[in-house]
Amino acid sequence: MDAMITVLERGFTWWDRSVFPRDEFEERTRAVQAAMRGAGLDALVIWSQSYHTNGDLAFLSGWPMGGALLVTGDGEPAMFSPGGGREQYFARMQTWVEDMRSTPAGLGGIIAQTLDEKGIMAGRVGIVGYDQMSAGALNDLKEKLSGYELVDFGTAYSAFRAPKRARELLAIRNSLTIARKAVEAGQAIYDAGGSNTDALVEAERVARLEGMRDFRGLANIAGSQLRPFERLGGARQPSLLLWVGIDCHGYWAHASNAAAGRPDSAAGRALAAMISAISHGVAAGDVAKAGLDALPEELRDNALSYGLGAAAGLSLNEAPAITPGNDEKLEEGQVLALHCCASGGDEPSLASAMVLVGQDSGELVEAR
Amino acid sequence: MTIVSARDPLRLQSYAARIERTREQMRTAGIDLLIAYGNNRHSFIAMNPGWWLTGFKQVGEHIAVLLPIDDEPLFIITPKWDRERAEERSAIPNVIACEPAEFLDTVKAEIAGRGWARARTAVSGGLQMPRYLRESWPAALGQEPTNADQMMSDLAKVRDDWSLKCTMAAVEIAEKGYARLLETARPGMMEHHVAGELEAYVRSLGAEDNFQLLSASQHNRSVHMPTNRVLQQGDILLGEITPAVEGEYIQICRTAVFGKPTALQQEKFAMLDEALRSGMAAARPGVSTADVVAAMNEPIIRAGYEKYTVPPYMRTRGHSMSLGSMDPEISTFSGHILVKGSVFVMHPNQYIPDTGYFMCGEPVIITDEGAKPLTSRMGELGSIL
Repeated sequence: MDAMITVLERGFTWWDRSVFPRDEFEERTRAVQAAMRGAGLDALVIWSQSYHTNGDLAFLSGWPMGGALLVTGDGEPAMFSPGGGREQYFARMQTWVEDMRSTPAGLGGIIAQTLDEKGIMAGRVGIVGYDQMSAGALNDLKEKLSGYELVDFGTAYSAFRAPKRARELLAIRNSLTIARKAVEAGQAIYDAGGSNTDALVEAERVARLEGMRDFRGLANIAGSQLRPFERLGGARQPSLLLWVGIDCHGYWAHASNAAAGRPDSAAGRALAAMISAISHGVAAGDVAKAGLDALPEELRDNALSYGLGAAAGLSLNEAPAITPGNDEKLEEGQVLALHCCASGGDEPSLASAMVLVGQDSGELVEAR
Repeated sequence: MTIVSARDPLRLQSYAARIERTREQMRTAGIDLLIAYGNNRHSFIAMNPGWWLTGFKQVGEHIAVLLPIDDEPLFIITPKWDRERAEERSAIPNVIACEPAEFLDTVKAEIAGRGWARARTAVSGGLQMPRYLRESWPAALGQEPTNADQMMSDLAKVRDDWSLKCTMAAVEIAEKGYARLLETARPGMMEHHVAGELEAYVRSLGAEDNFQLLSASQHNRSVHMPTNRVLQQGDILLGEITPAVEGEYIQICRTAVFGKPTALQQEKFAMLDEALRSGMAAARPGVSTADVVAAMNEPIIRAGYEKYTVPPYMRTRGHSMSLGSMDPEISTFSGHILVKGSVFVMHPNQYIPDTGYFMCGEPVIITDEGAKPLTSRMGELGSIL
């Protein structure tokens, strides 16, 4: 679901080794190195824009910093960040990566230097995150790695990390736990006579106290359509539609208030239809079609504009998107964040769920 | 101060004036059509020209203002479901909503349909414009557009009345937030609980966003995001509080001790306070940011801490808060010459080996007499008893 993105991730930030022990990242790295060998890569550069980090780098580092990660055929990765390094003291506490370097200049030079140090003077270097790079960063990387063959490894890497590992599922459940508490707190404020704005503010407050790192929130603050919090005020609406997205330890889950999406509501029926359509190998577009078919025709366009969901993990918008015509196939082990906002009509409704794709069906992900 | 109405006369006048000021610069630069882009990562670290011209903070992936030199401007937003809010909030009334996947085609069709295809076109979207979109403009427009980022950044630097009104509202919230922090933070609480309560409080005062770094230790190496560290007596609490009102961010940087500050702590904080005031006195129109840095560093160097006036012991001596962007930074290398009426946060925040990292930062406006604080009271070394 599109929602206003808060300025920077700034909530509770800590490497919880009870969720992600160091060996989890070591194993992920070994698996990526095996995939690199299969693709004939001598090295892999995973790029993350400083202004909006994504899950590609965090999957291996555990820390969603901007910069780049260099993986070679064996051994541990090295991580590079732009800037003067003030943040490194704290960053080193958040990641298992020991080789962490910063540079005020472009990252291309330091990556080339590190490849040289590791004895990789030529060969094929996979790149993840082309779209994250500015033109300047891309040109710098191409220039500094001109002696190497650069290969786009983004699609392969995304496919590699599509099925969620056991500990990723645990992290998603932790996030879902916070998301549920947040919407329940918002509902309680509304039930006590608060406005829809009050409910959204309370949901964020509770999520922060419960340990979220980043937050997205929407509610029907004014009228039937969802809105982000922008200012105080806003009259209490006849009903509350409240949606939150929660990042805890980098992993996302979402939830909406149960009262907004009862099973007999339009959104509730569409959500149930989508969940019923899920199994390994089903096209994402078919899941979307099932949901839309369950909606009254007059609600479909608006619901489609809100979107019906996507795969989730280190982002709420991983591939595939649940959208009509999308031929991408669901894969066992993926987690989907599904939602339906049927906000038009006389009885607006909103329903959401986190669903694990199984071989023969979808299974609801439960909060811990 | 609560700002509630999108039709506030001052707001409407200021946005109309922004359009005209932008057109003046377009004429000077030989630009017939400006595409002012924005994405939904509205922040103070990268610009959002689409927001600056409309007052609309989007949830969708893309927005763009199409501003012709001599025709009515057009505002394209995504996604469709957010149209109602856009029409309510945008200072440009002509709003077209489309889905993100249709964005580029919609921009292209509107330009063609309005006869603007042959106009000399410039694009401003800053660092947050996705590379694929940046690379798509030449084909979509049938020409290589010029980059108008610096023009837009320079325009936004000098604050108009609406910008200052929102800024002052944010300053008030920041100061109240810090006062609340001193009242509520207690030994035994975890950092992220303190941060969460502060965040909720500034939201209750009307700030739609707030960037904050909040951490505490007996000897801080730097400030950082809140953790589950349990606050203890003698800890030094660091807070960088950055609320936003109507998209205008402002920042204060504060330091407080759980207990009575030691004489050493007071001495070192006084040194940074002197550095800040020295930098503020130097920050007059026409002065380079490099000279401001030199003025700010002088008391610190005089005290024998020159080694600590550069990274990794500090990050920057300050930065702009205009246009949702840090351009320019108060650094030796930004090459910027200060302009009257621009707003910065100035902060000689840094590590000091005797006491650890201290924060001391004020939002200021550049005047002929130097930088004037926007706060009602400049930061002091606080005490939480």
